[in-house]
Amino acid sequence: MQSTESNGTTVHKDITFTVAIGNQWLNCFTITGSVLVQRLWGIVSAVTTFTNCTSACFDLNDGAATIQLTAASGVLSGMPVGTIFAKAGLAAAAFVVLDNTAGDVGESTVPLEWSESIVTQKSGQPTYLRMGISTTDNPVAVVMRISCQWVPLTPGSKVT
Amino acid sequence: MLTANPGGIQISKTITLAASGGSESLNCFTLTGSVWVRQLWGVIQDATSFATCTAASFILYEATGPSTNQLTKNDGVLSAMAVGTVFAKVGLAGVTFGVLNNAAGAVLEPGAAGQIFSEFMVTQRTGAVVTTIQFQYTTAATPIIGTAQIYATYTPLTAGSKLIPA
Repeated sequence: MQSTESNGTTVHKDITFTVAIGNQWLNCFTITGSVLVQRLWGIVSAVTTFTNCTSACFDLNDGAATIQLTAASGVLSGMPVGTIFAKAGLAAAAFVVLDNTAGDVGESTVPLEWSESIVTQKSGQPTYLRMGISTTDNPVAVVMRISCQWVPLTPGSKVT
Repeated sequence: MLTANPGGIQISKTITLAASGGSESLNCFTLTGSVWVRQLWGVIQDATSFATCTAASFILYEATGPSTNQLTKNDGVLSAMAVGTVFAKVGLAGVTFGVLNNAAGAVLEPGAAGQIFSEFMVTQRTGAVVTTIQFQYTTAATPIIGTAQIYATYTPLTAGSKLIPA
């Protein structure tokens, strides 16, 4: 699904984690060329078994190397449907989580701001924006909708 | 134009690098009045002979004076970068432009969480003096052979102000 925003295009991808006691990475988006990623976030959209979910993060993988987009320390264990997580810091920071068990406010010691990045595809190689998790559930069963707002920086560049 | 951006106007200019064992300054955009430049970046489109490209930067140049103001630090290095490599002003004038070398997947972040491009305002020298944003560099190649597409997104600050491909 794709829609045009006032300052960029937003794409969405539904991903389903099914790993049993271990790690799993899922491709969310394919990067073509170079793009400005303005916003990157996700929402827990369906939960069957989701007791344990740690080391959660976004990264960029070009088939040979991985670059963190958020720290591999995000925790989504037990979060209900509707919980939001978003890249609001540099790569060394875990994504911010808004747990909708109660009303929640995404702030920290400084005003919360989407943290942008420029992302470049490895020349001639499929390059993916991924989400990874670790779980002790056997198996985990959860669906998340991942969203990315982006702007092309070179002709033909895109996030799909 | 790459994308509709109601908050600004996007322009681009193809520049051809052709210096032989020396430096070259290439006009990218001509400034009229005063504008707020929100994004400034480039992409290498041809790198036929591109072994050395150093001391690279963006500057504001006034034809009469002459006078220059650095927009990025004059120590950018694009030597041997391939087609598709992106370079962008992501810091203040005292900071080298950021380079995304597409030999591998690459990510460039700001110094602190938030906006990646570093914005600035520029003003044309009074008296209708031709004032341009230039790309300058030095090469040891004889000659360097390459092209780059330079992009800017800007907003006019006064009536009639604009930035147009030079």
